[in-house]
Amino acid sequence: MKEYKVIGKSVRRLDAVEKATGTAGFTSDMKLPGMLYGKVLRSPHPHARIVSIDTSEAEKLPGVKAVATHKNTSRELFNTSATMTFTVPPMQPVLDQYIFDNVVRYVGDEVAAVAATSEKIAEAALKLIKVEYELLPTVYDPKEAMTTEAPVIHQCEMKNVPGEVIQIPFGDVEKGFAESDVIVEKEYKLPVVKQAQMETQAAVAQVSLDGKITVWCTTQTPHPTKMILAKLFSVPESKVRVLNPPYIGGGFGVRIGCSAKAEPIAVALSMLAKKPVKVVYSREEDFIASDTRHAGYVSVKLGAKKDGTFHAMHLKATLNGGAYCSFSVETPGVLGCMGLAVYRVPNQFYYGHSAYTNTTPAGAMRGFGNPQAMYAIESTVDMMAEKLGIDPLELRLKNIMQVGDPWVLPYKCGSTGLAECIEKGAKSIGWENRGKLNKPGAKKLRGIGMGVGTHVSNAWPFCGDYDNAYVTIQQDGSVHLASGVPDMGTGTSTTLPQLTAEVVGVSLDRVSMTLADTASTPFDIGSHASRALYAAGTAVVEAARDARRQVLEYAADLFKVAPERLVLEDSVIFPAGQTAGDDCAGSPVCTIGGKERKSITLKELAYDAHQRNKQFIGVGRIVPENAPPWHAHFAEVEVDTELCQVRVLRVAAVHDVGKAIHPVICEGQIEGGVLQGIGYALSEEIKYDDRGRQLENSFHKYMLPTADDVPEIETGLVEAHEPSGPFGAKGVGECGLVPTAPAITNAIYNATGIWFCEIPVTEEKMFRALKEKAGKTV
Amino acid sequence: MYLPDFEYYAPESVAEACQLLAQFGEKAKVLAGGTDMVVKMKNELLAPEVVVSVKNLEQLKKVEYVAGKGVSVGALCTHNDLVKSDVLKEKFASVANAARQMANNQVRNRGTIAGNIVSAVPSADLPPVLIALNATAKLVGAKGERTLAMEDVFAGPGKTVLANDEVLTEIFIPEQKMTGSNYIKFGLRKSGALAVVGVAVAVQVENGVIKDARVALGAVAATPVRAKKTEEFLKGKKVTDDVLAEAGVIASGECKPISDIRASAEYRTDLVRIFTKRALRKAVDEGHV
Repeated sequence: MKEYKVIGKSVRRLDAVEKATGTAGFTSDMKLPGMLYGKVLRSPHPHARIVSIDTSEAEKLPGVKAVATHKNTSRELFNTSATMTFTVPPMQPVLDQYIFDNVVRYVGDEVAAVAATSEKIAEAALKLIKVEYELLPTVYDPKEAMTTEAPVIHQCEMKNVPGEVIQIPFGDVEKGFAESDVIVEKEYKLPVVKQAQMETQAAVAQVSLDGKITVWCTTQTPHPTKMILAKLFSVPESKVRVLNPPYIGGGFGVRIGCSAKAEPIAVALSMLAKKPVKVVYSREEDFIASDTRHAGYVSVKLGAKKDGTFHAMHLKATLNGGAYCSFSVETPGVLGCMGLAVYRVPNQFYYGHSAYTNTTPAGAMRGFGNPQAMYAIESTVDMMAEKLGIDPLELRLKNIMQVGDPWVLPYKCGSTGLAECIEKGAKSIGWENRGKLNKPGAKKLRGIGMGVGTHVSNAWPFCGDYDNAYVTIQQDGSVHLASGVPDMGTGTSTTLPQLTAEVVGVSLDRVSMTLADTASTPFDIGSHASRALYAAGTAVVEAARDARRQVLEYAADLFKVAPERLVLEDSVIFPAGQTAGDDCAGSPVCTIGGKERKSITLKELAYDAHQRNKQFIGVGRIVPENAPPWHAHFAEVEVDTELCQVRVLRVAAVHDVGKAIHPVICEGQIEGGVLQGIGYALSEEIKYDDRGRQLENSFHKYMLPTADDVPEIETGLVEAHEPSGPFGAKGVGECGLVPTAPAITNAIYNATGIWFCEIPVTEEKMFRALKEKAGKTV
Repeated sequence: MYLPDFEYYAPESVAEACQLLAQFGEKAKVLAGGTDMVVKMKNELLAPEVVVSVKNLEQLKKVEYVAGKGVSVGALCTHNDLVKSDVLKEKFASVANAARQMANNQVRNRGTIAGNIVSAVPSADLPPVLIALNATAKLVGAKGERTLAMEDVFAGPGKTVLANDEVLTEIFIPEQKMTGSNYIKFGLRKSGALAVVGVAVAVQVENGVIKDARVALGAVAATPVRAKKTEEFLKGKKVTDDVLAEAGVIASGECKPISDIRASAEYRTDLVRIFTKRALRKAVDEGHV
């Protein structure tokens, strides 16, 4: 196997010093001369028509420079998510919202916004806006939203269902169940959870007098966001620049497209006030008025032969889309595809969609439907294992997808290290001790459970998808990389330069990167779908190869040999078969600066080219494939049956990442995902009161696990080479929370004998379940 | 999310603070660590016209042992001052442990004992253990001072018996006949969570018999409450698992919790049962206050 110089090593992150010293740039730090501060008036009602709105008092307040409402802003329908820019025909993007409308559809919906010389004045002005509402009937549950009695939230072909129903047939599912010996069927209920990224939604907009718009913001997708804003404000895309400055404080999917409405509102206010405007959401606004994960219902019907061979599966999802569509068409699509891709089941069917309700819109969040699918499926698989009397681990090994197996996806299962992940994880957690951990009569019960899954490494086929990159050799032989993907903390600004350095043949300290800026990077659909390293990385590799090829062609002329004979290593170019600087007789020589040389540095070569009026500019233009990462998670829990509390003691998380370009970053991604998965399983949830208000709207009330709650997490990496990925790499970012919740709930079952078909398994739920169980046994 | 306008004073002595409070009456609020008050002001739940900051009252920031009498805790000690206090660790480790369970490290660095008590949040972590240890609170006003039993300071959620001109200056924890004490908090996560239930106990055990007991419950009534029937039940009983379990059952009958987003009243009641039993067992076994 080839020895790599830069990739595969956990080098110091290139953003480490800036971030550790607090000097890294984020949108919330931005300050421009003359900048105003924007604040948003939000609906206190879950569904209402605005009968009248009077902004005159607010406008009179000294320091107020603009007030925006549905009366003086764009009437262009749009979708805050990037789906409006890359939905693949014949599907059409769902455009169902305005910046401000005369109907509000959830508590937190935008009614108006003010730009003022200080945030304090802007907030005071909001209180002076008089709004008269006519209350409309409400619905909060997706199943109820589809009934004839429910109010219409948006006109749809099927009652309150945005876009279309996703149906994925595979084999003959009816026949499959008829031929099955054992069938397990269950419905699962899923909570609303939040990305809880560190930096809230934010944008600073500047509109120049000649109509150019510049927006510094927290988006994960600068290029698509540029397209959304250009359409919304009817300006040419060439006149809109969207960029990160250059970092984002996390994302987890919450800003694929606009950062909620931070960008549109900042631009609208900037146009009205003719000054730069900054809009930063408070944490409460972020909680109630930016996309959540989809809650809802997932049901699984699984049929198997007596020997444990899966034979039929029917998967159904009814998701709560909230008040606006966002990614409510794509999410059930990914849920279905990922759900059907883990096991070899010859007869399958998926039926899934979202439904509008009067709740905060649901959109993308790490895993994008997949955690919902796998909680349901992996719970059902454990139920099946019990019914069959087969060890759940053995049952999985028997049925998991293999390379080349037919499946529902339009790309190949080109690699899988899942079996190895399962074996390693089982060893790490001590699977053989499962069922032997408790003494009779113990009040603290231990249990071990597992869950597996796959995911994507890219967004296609769920949306249009391509990547570009420039790799430019500077006049001193150093290397500049330009890629349109952001670094939201996932290490893109380190790993993409690693790929560049490896391919060009220079050390990492010679590479610098411009990222996430539509004016200085070519189009890229952005950081999401675990794709930045896999897909944008493929474009970067392509661009780096192109630059290297140009360098070697230029050098070949000087050495008077074929370019293929030349090597570029550690910034030195020399003919193959001789080490750099080696003076062996008879080897080709390069004539440069009037002298004959056995080798030449990239620095000398680049400057020579510069003097001859030439620069090496590598361009990567690729349409990425897709590839399945795989993962097996094992959890050991302790259930205190008196307190009704579950503690996760240990998690073993083993992931097939293809090739770990930066192992520590991979592990960091996995650990973070595991922790989010623990929150999903046990504590995180946004509930609503009967007036449509979000009960958990702050970090104080929303039970995100804290650093103190982190259990021992043993991560493991498996490298099943993926032919379509850069150096064999696959996606990593989202995978950590895909199989975490079911590993925990299966462990809870193992400990207590109780199946939880609704998460999070809060103390309160455990209290009721244990009481019910005790009641039954008595 | 912005502070309203207010007049601001930072007196140099307790007497000066009391004078200012007497002068401004209901318009004024005392600012200590601000971890509760500033948040409330930003959220428009509180809008005092006058803020009297007591941050300069250095004399109220000490923990001192008074030989033969007990430990004096200055009301402006932060929670972390208590956590780190060698005097407390030596004399009343259960108080230092209770302080450690409050909120998170950032809040413990800033939030004061006075604030934790005077805010009168039913779920506050320090009052139960202070009540169990029979601590007293010294209140100084413009016209004089008075000392109250800790449990008599509270009047309801967010309400105390402090007069407008009074400042809490000192908590005094007396020397104990109690042989063990303990506070157990139950939150929905390990850090940064309000108590769903907090149970503090102090017991005097001699030759396996409970001579005296005090039990105080947090987060299960409008104020921290004594579980007096439980205390009576325990007195004179031998320490057995059954006795401690029975004490838990009695305590659960003495609380009046509400249901909120954190837990139902029913679950809280059951937690009181479990925690009373566990806190008693711990206090007996560890054998120190």
